[in-house]
Amino acid sequence: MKRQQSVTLAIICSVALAIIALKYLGGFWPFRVVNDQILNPIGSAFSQVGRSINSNFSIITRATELSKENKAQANEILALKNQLSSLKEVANENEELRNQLNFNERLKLDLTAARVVSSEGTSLRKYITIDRGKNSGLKEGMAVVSSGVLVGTVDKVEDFSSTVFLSSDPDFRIRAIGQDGRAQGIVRGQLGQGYLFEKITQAESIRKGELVISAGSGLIPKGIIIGEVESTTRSDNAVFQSAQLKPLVNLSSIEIVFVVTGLKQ
Amino acid sequence: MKTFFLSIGLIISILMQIFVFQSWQVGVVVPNVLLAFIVVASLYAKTEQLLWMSLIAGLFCDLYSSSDFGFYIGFYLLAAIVAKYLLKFGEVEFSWWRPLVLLTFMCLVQVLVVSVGLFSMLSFYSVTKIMISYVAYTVMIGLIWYLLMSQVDEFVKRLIVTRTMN
Repeated sequence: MKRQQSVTLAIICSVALAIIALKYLGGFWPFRVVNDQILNPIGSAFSQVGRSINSNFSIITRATELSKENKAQANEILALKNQLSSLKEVANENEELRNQLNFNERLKLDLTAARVVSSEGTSLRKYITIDRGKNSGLKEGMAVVSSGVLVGTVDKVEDFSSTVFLSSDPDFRIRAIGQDGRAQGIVRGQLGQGYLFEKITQAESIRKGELVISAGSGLIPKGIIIGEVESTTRSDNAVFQSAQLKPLVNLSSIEIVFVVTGLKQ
Repeated sequence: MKTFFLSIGLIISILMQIFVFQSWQVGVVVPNVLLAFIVVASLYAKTEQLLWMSLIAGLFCDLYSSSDFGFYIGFYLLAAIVAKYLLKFGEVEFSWWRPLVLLTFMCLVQVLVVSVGLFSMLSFYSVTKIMISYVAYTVMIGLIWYLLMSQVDEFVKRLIVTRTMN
């Protein structure tokens, strides 16, 4: 009996090693095709079921009308913030352009819509899988937005799917600027506790309620909203000041995202 | 019969883990449904069944994970072997707390391996809070699996007795 168990263990370990070897030697594509073409669509349906159960449960726990009203108002606020952000960006750019007597049209984003298929299952690191890949022109490092707010960057790209590294992960870092005071710094995720806007020099000004936008780096264009300043931390003997940012979208409930594939003039 | 119910349980766990629990997070925590399933299933499944289930669970997790491919296959196989040998060690009757204690321990090991880098980036309090929620949520799922599986086991036993008598 024990011998039989050892044989089974040896067989299963061999199969596991063969699968891992296939992955690293490039022979894993049949699994990937099955995954992209069959499992992802099924998974997408299950994700929707999960979300609808979740949303129904929250409707039971809250008053229905209040919930609807709240959602509508939140959307409205977000739309207004986006509008305000665009207007402020235009105003800032106009001023700068007037000063330099040079004109450049405001950049607009080229977006590719993608559906969220799954999230990193068993880890505290924050990744999601979307149903767009190389076939839709996605590349590593591209920005991913939801409701006009940055939610992460494209990490790994397969033919028909991609992994998105969410901005809430503590390893996520992006150059950012405050929209009003133009304070420059680095934003990093804090696992469900918003973002930390750090490495801002003491000479720069950052205020509560101010929107923080991407400063433009790599494939991430300038001007995408990251979060809103909730509080600032400043001490006279420190080299830098920092600010706590409030995320403007709930990353655990996003269903559709947009990947910024380029800029159109 | 048991194989049928275990397979159903595995499929449900995989679907819940990868596709459903992303919208049922507590804070930022997604519980390890598959680990809970494997540890509890080790009480009812044969060693061969458990190892195959762990391999399949690990393969699916690795397909949707950003970790190095093979991490979850190895982790679940190891969890299955440890659970199979530790849970039955020295006891004929199953105690309800044994799988839960083992699950807590395994969960802690996994969360420490995964989040060791977080201590340098977040405060000790934040990381500890996240780790505790992760372990608690997973153990709660483990308890649900235990209750479900013990009921199914009773049902299968009764069915076998009825068939034998007939």
